[in-house]
Amino acid sequence: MPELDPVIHAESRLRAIATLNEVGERDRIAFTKLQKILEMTAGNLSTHLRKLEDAGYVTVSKTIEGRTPATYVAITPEGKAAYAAYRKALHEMLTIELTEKP
Amino acid sequence: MNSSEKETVESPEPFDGDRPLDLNAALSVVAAAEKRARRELRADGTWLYLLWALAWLLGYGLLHGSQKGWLPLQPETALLVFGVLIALGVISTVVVFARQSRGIRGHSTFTGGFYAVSWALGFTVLSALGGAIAAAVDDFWLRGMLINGIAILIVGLLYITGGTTFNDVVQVVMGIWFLVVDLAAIFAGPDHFLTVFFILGSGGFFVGAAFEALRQRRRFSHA
Repeated sequence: MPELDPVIHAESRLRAIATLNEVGERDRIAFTKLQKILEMTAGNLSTHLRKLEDAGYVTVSKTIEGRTPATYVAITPEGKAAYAAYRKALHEMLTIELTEKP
Repeated sequence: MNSSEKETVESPEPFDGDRPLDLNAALSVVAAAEKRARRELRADGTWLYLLWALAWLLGYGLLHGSQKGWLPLQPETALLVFGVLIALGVISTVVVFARQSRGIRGHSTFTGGFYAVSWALGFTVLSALGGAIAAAVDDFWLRGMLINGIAILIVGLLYITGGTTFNDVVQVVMGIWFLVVDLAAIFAGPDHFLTVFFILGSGGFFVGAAFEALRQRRRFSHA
């Protein structure tokens, strides 16, 4: 029986990692742009990104753009692999659920 | 994280999205998040191709009308309007891609940036070459055919380059199409090259827009 990664299997983190997966591991996205796409508050997004960062699925880096500090977020190869495994497990579990229904 | 981000970190959240999901809800979240991300991160080629299709249809149409006499328009005036339409197309394209790439750093900044520079350099060289051709060739339509032929050579090659760089088969096919149309226009000669571009050039953009729309729909329905 496949298992769902508990770090990813929560709505906000799932939305965040799905979006970061679309950005790709060779690019990083500004925190503010990610926040706008996800329509989450900065606090909520920070909390969930920290959990994804602790699991090694994303990296958060700080930089200075002009005179303004900016935060960028990127998915790691481990994060991409974990998200792909999560999607695969999810589809397998839904297939099992469908076939087991009377 | 900047100061404004820190301020909101400390504010309580009514819902932190940390609840485990049921399987169907998780699938819906994945589909919706991927769809939204693609919309926000990738420019919609459909509208850009449509915009260029209309710019070419109108621009080449006006030149065609002034050459063949079905429009009461001086060739110089038609050329001026054609230039304005192309400039509007370039500005719109730059705005769309600038908005898309804002807030993204990394590999795509490098590839997208230098791809844009290639367009700018190509057309800078063309403007110098166009000046030399204008000085050497007296006939208005032969001059137009030569300068337009070089411009479309650049467009075709850069579409193929863009398609291979960004893994976009529609762009590659359109690039090949523009080169084929360019070849056909050169063979048609100064009296008929505008007919070729008026119909087949703008037609290529209309077909490209249709393929892009289909691809976007398929991509979203399989998300």
